[in-house]
Amino acid sequence: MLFNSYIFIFLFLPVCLTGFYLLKDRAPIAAKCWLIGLSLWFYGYFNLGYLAIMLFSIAFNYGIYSWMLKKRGRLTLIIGVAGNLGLLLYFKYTDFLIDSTNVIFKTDIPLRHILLPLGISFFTFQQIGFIADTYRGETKRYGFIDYCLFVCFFPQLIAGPIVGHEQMMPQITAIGSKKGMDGEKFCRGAMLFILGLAKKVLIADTFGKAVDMTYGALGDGVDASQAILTILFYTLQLYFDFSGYCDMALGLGRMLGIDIPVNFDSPYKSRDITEFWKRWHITLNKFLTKNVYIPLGGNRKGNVRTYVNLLAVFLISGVWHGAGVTFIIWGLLHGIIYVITRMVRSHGSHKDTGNVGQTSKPSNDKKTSGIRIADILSIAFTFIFVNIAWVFFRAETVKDAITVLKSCVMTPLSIPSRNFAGNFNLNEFWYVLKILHIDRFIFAPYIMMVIYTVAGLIVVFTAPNAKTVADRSAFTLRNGILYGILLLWCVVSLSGVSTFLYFNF
Amino acid sequence: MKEALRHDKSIVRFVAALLVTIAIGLILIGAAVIYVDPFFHYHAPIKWYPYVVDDQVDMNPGLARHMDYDSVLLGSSMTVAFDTDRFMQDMGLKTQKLSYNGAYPKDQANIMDIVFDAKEAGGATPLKRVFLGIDELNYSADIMQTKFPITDYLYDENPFNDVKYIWNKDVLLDYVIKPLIDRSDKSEWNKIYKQWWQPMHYNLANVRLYYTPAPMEPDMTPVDEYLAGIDRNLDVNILPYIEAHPETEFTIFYPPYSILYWYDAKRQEQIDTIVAKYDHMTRRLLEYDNVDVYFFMNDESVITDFDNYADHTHYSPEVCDYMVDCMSGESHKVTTDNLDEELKILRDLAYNYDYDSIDL
Repeated sequence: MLFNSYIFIFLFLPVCLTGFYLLKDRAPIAAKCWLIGLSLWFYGYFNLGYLAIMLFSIAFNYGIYSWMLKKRGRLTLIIGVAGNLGLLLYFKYTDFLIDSTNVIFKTDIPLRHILLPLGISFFTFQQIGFIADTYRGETKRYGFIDYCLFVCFFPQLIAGPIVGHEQMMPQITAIGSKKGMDGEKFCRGAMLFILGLAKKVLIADTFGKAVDMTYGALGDGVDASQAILTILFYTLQLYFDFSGYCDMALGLGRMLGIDIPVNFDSPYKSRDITEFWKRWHITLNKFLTKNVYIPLGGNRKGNVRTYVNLLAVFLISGVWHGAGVTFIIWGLLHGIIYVITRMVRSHGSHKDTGNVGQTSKPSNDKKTSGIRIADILSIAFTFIFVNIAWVFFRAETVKDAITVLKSCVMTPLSIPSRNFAGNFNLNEFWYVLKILHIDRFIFAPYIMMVIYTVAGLIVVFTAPNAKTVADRSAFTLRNGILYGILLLWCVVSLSGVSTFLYFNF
Repeated sequence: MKEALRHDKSIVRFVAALLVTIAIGLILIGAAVIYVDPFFHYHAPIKWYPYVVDDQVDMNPGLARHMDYDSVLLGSSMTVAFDTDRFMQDMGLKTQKLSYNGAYPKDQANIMDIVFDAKEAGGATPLKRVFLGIDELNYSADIMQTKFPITDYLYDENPFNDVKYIWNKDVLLDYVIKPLIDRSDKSEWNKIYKQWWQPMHYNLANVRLYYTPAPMEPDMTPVDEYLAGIDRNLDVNILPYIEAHPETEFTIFYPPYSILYWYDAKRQEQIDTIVAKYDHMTRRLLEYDNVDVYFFMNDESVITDFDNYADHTHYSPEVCDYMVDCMSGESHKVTTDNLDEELKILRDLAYNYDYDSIDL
């Protein structure tokens, strides 16, 4: 089930909330079972086969965890991690490995075309983290129901964040301990959900149509302007898509009284790539830092080893995001720039403080007397690099990525086609252009594309994130109507197919 | 205490405003869509409304369920230029056009399911005749293939997924409000789905714009290459309806593509293969008493005159009128007696036409 679907908004969510709040104070265990049951429905709605895989994964990991509680041995850890990675490897990487073997060894092994269970990367990593923490003695004794809800809690199930037990388990075990409903938390959750839905449905999907048009017709050639805009639009699409998803997940969690950790914190405002990785997919970076970077030695074994460890983390991050060479290149590009940035920092007067994913406050949160030119240039450089790297993230093949990048410099710069700009001319804006009598001008087909782009950039560079907006919103009649209209606009925009970009990662 | 109470009140006010806004919005939008019903999902068109009928996949099911008709015209884009008033004028049939551009046999089966179910449920006007244009090219496809994905909420009987229709921005803005503001796109009921081409577009110059000769193929395609596929489609998607409805007359016709279609077939060494497809299909169809078959693809006067065409296959409304006249007068009708002769005419024309005389 998608958050941005009629069935979720009009059936699943009301049923879920009603049942939960009816049960929570009277029978907390029943309330947890209710959430588990609803989460299984949510997940199984995509494909019942997925459900079996996830249930197997939960049972396997809880078995390992229980075993570790009795005897915390390295072998158990290895079995647990290997079991999880084996599952992930089989479902996500089998075809990639076969394909790579065929290319390298010129063999002709047929691909298996295994259907990738949605969110498998998320719940697998979440459980690997849990097993590793248990090995380190950082977990407590949890019942199966609590553990099951920790893994399959629907707001974070299919596209993260990768939640840690230390954040979630205290809240899950405490369900029912505080009577009644926290009305303010519930309402701010609803606000955040609506804002996230709007980012996904009204903004990300619109940029996505233009991006899909270009990548779907690369064979026909693409001119420089369209290639450059496509790169920028994908950067914006991914931002609004992923942050929109996270906002919805956080909002839903709050509506159920659970605080899900922030996963996304205005990353395009970053001044360098190390800061970017403290703001983008924060929970994945925390996971990789804790479970890959530090066990490899972190920064404790000298500079060279630190850089190798960092590259390893980014390589794993790339592979985790997708089974393909393009993702590896994307990961390595980030890794190389990250290492270079660290080298420059080490060489200069900066103290080398950060591990990847470390949650030190980003530098632009510090109070400064004003925005310096150097800051603007740093943000611009980081943004341009991230744009270029996203090309490999989006392209189906390396050849496609190179085609797009080459088109930016090797083809003439011209006005993008009307068809391309037409992706932004949503129905509702036709009326606006008509009322303002600007629909007859020659530039009319491009107005919405320009407005979308400029507004998108203003939001990513200057606006507070949705969580802050929801937290600051006053409970007024006017805001109630505004949020109502926004939800209404999203609901009537739900028709058609739309898929979250992060589902297959 | 007072502060907390005031805070609680403001939350209640916020929630109330949110819920009331959504409720009012959903009720108003839903009511407008159900009242106008631009895809005719719930009722026949209301008289005064300037409907824009241009979305075959979404509108055909509603048209089939709620329009008043006693015959239907089915087929691909080869059927969109027909004026259904001509059927009334020539044969006294109130015909509903239910074309699907690029239709596959499964598309025809989907809409025939709805047509016959509607007729059986309503029963007021029995279905006298089905006019079905067959494009040989698509009749060997996968039996489940449709040209476009069908819209589940308009084709199935599940009332709950209708939310995708009644709270749908595109439906509301494009098909409920926009036709009231801009009436220039209002459809004429007898000419729905018509091509955008105007009379001035039917000539060789226009055909040339779209046409590129097919690449030459050195080897001849085996004549029986597609016959198994055709059988599968006929057995699943067409013949069951003919067998189940002996009271309905099925008038099947093969559209007259221009001679350039045969030029391509010649370049690709496929003339005999295509002729074999026509032969096989026709023989199977003629096994049924309630089926008539009409050949237009071998009408030399039509297919060699480029003033009849806007591209190398799509013919003008005048040709459509001519075809209706022919079917009304039983001209161009093929039986098992004259089938071989008609196919020979087609084969000879395709092989021997002086293609060099066409100024490409």
